Amino acid sequence: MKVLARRGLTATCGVLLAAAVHPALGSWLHPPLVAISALTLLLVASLVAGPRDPAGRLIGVGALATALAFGYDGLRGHRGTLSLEAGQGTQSFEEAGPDGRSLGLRPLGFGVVLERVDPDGSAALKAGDGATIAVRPGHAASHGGFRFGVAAGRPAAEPTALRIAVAGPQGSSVAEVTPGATALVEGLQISLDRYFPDFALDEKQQPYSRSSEPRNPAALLRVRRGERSWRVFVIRAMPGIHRPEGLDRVLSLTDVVVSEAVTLRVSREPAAAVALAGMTLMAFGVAWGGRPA
Amino acid sequence: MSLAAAAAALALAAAAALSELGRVAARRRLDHASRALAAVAGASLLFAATRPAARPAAVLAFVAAGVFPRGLPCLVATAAAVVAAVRPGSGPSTAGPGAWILLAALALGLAAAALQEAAEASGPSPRVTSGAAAAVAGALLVLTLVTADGGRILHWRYGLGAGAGRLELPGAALVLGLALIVSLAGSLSMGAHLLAHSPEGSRAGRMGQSLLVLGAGLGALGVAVVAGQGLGRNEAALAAGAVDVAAMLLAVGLIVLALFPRLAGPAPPGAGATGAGAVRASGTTLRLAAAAALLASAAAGVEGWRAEGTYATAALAEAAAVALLGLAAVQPARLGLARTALFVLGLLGALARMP
Repeated sequence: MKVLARRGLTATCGVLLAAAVHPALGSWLHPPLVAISALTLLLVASLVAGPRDPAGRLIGVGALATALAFGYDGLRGHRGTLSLEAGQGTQSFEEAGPDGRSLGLRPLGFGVVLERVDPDGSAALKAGDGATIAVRPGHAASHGGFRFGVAAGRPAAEPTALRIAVAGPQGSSVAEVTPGATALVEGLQISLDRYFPDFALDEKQQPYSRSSEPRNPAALLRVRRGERSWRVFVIRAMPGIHRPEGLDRVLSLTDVVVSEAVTLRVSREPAAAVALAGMTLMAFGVAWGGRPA
Repeated sequence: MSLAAAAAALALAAAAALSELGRVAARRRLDHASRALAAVAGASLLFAATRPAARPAAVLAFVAAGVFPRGLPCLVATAAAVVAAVRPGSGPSTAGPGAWILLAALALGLAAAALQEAAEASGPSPRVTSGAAAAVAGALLVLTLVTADGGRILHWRYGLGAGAGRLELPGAALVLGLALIVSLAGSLSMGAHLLAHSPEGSRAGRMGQSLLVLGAGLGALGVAVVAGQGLGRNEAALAAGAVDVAAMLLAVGLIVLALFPRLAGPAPPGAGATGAGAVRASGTTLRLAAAAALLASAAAGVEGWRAEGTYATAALAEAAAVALLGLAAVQPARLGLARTALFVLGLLGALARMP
């Protein structure tokens, strides 16, 4: 007990635990969960066994409550994600462990259907009992003991597909070019090299995107036919502006297709309030300990 | 660029100089002037509040005005005001930094004041403390220059931003590269002087001091060149490199602050912070800083729960790490000054990583 009450031990555990949980250092150090748990136990034990004055007791109780709440939510709580397209429904979500590893599907206990996704990233879900769960970026919502928050919408800078019109001697056809895939149309293999949602040229005449909004979409396409290959620049504002030598087709960007999909963060953390109370107690304890005698 | 934030940065830099002058000369009028300047700077930063970085900078300025006058909190507030001045605003609809960032800024201001007070009270003599602080500040400038812009300064290259909008600054690279070499030599020389317990006025000590003065001058010139060229040629690139510029300015300011007592000559009786009273005051301020850091982590948890539906966010992890450093810093054990410095660095990192 005397060893635990040594302030040097508390300080060392505090510094080591800080390094382990810090997002910048943690991703570099990769501390195992067991090491973090052991350090937390040691720190809480040293704070509880520490000074017998009221401030010290307050810090000890706060640390114990916080550690217990984090531990309970880690073991008995659930955290994961839910990805839905508009009109799609589900009764479960993809659960993730404390280390981010997937634990498989976890039932929600009720069904949800994604009704719509608004341009600002807000989403409306219809629960099985008829309730509407409205979430928007920065504002999570509760239902059935779970919290739903917008984890990530599809970034505006990344389109689902580009609609490319290919005009040739026999008429024209439309291809949907998706990032990372090759579209085949009229014997041409078309893939996306670079996409500029809001195309502009800098002072050195180099292309860049002024914003992530598709205000002036343009793209650099890789076009192949047999052994031959071309790079074709297309911009929605000026159809057919670039006609590379040897390519007997005119390519134009007609539209940018953005998917109505949303990824929601789903969590059940029953001990969240205890963790908050514990941290607040610790803060008061630390401040109280510094009062003038 | 925000003129209000730029004016606040200038006022805070002046406040830092005045507070150090007041402390060295034991003149309370200079202390009062320093506090008034910091308060005016804080009010000025409120006019730039649409810029996310201006709000924590305002908190830092008000802390610098409120706590006992110290150069370090003013200097930290200056760096934050520089970031606020060059980083563009993000429209009235944006929520801006969360409450946890503002609480972390409050903790940083208090912890910086406590660190300076504890450093001045703990050394065997003001000149030795000043020399050690200058050597550490020189090493910090070297570290900042090495890490800024991905370490390109080691290849005599420096630029702002990335991608198509990157701005290469070969002139600034030359000046900053020289500042790095000179500061490194100064730190090593001063460190050797202190480790050898040489008498005051030894060649290594004098050389270290001169080199550090030169390094700080070159660093300040480099920062001025970067800011001038960035403002003139590509403000977006300057905004992208704002944290690097602020970090360099802070490191240069730390050298100046550390060398102040050595350059100012012998202090009159009653000047500076010494004795048990100063240690107690520093301890109280440090405890308040640690409490603010703990409240910041609680606020980060609440904000994560409200915004993302869970408190297990990267913001909470960062805030909790800093709060743990604060908890470690207040423990009455050995290496207290080093733990306090670590706490201040953690808080600086949290504010620098603010989106």
